[in-house]
Amino acid sequence: MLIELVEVSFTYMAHTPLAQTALRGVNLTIKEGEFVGVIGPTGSGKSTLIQHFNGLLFPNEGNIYVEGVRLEKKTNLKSIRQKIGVVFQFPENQLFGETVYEDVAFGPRNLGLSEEEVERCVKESLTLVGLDFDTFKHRSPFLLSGGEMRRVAIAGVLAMKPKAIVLDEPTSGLDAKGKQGILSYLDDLHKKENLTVILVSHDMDEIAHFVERLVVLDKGEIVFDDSPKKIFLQADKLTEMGLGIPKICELMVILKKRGMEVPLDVFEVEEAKQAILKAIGDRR
Amino acid sequence: MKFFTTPIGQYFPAESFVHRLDPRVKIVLTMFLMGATFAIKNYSGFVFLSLFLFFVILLSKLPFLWVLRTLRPLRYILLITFLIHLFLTPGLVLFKISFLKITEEGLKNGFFFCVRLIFLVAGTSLLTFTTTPVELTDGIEYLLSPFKWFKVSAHELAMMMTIALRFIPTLLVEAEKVLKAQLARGADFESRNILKRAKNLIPFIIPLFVSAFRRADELAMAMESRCYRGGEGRTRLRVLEMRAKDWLTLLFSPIVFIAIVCAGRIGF
Amino acid sequence: MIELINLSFTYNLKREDEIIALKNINLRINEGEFIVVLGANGSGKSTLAHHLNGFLLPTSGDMIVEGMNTKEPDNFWKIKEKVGMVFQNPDNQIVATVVEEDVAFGLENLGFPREEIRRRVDEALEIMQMSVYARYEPHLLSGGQKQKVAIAGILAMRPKYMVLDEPTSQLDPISRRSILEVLHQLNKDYGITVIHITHFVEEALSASRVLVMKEGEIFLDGSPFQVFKDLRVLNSSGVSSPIIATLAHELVKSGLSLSLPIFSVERIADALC
Repeated sequence: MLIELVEVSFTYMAHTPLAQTALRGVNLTIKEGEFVGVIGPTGSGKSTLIQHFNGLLFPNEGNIYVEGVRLEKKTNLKSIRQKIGVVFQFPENQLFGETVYEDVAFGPRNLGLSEEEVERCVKESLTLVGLDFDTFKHRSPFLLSGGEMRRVAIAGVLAMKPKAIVLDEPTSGLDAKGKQGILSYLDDLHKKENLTVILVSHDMDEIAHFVERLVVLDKGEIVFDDSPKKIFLQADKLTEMGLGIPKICELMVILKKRGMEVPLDVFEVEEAKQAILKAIGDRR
Repeated sequence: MKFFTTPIGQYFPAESFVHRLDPRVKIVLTMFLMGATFAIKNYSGFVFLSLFLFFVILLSKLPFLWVLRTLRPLRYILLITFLIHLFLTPGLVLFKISFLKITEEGLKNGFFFCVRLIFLVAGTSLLTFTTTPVELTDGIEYLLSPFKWFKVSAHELAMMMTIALRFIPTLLVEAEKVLKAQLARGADFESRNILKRAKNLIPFIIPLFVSAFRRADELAMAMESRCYRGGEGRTRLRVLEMRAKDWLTLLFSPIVFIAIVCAGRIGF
Repeated sequence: MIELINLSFTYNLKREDEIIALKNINLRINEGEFIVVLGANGSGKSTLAHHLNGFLLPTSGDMIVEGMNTKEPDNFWKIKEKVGMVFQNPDNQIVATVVEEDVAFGLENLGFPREEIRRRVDEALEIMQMSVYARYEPHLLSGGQKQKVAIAGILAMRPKYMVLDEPTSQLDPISRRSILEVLHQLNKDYGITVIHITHFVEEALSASRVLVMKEGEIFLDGSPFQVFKDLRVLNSSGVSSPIIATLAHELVKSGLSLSLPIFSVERIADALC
């Protein structure tokens, strides 16, 4: 069990009149090698949740374990933060290094690695996000394109060789190509390096394709925790939460209502095509 | 991260006579109060002034203890001020502990200085507790506007203050985000070694600067696209208006101050 | 009418790092249009937007707004009154510390009398359905709400044209949808010409006209119907196709007879049964 949350509740400004509960009795386990999507409307507690994974926030109630170690303020948080890398929204806003190299090296250096090891980490992580080490190492991170800056920032977390990487809206603000780039590199990382990936997003269409498991948060509680296919069967509930469902699911629901024999747990173009062709074929 | 949850400005929302006063009146009266604290030279004067201040706090519906709390950070300064005056003022010696002499004048001076400091802080706190930063900015802009002729543009000053007020919360949120992002990369902001700690601040400060400059750039563009070209020919949606109670307060409060100062002079 | 005549623009002109951002663009924007501009990053969308109200001046060619050339310094402010601009980051375009005062900002700059400012501010907030938040501090609003405040601030100035430079790119899907709805309402009910720049291809489906930019040139220009007809051409500009359009395309390839293009869920459902 890589990450385990047991009955976790969290309240901002607890014990004050401004108290705001962000998480309520959350139970969640994430195994090594999973690719999990966390989805929920704005204010559902997604960001609060991921800050619990690496000890940036501690629950008011309940417990969190990372590889069996319970997180509390006196835990060795550095080693936890090395294991669970967290990339926040718009991570390019955290860049500070004079060169891409310096920036990506920040994490490994904080871990006290030797300069040789640091260089190896930087090189590997830049390669992992699709940036050529020799081309980029001496460039200023501030003069890169938006997509490249974001990759450098992600590399900065990957360079710590985490067991899991948690990303909050990693594609927000990027164009279609930039989005696809980031997502496919994450997919590769997961498949080739067996990295655990936790992807937080509010865009169903985007995340459905990649993840094996989807955790749906609403008002601080986990509402669904299942495969995307099963979750998209609950179209009504998702729409009610303001999440919406992938366009193709939407179509399948309409077709089914009109009497066409199509499955509802379909959200990819290829699957949808086969399903529609089959349904029309059967009808004839 | 207590630092980031401290509210900006000290405004304490309440519905009171003092809250509703025109900010210009409040600023002018605060000045008067400052003047009065320095003009008073006797114990009785301070007693009257304390009573007056107490009355204003009651009138403004602020919790009394809450106002007192603002004096807390002052405690060491007060202590040091008091001790310096106590030991270093020449005059009639009351006690003598080896080379340290406590004089009657020292006791009195120390006491007066501490009380003045307390009044200064309490008075300005009262102003900021009962006036929103926006009102303050407006009041200052208005009061400074006669100084246009001395090449001090009150409008620009006020615009700068407004923008600062507008962006402080935004930048604080940003600061927290950067801090957390760097913590997630194993940054150490709590090292015992001061030099190391200062060095560790770089990854925190640089992103903040970069973002502040970017914001400034974009804001300038947005302002220009809404035809902002300085204070010339500009009108305002919100204008300050003096009502009867503002005029009356402005008229009567100075009389009270003068009375207190005079009472202090003739008294003991 | 806005006219771009042989307009080119180069950043860092005649320097080593010069970048040609716009190449010889000819374009006419008519009143009442709802134009969505698509294109990959670096295709020149934003540079184009920054020409429309005279932030950037063409290195060659002309940009003419209602007969006024942006090159003429006298026209600088007049053009900004006609062409309002909303930017990407909702945080960095709100000036005042109270919502209604921010909406008033443009009118204050133009020196309108107080009563008129009041009227227009209330009206603009009403249209944007933000009246409840009139006395709020902007930092307490969500991204979508901030963006609505920004739009209200432009709306209050009653411009003929509204240029929006990726206003939805940092918002969640719900806010995105509601901003798009509001823009259509402004276009339909108040006759404001909207030029909406975005990288969400789905937002182009309801436009009256779609421009696709590629490498500083206008690559496609037409109704959504025309632009989404040939997906291969569209994709070659780096713009992905709407997912339903792709599905319809695939179905046709597999032998179904549908009349392309189809890009909305309703239309494809109707076509299928």
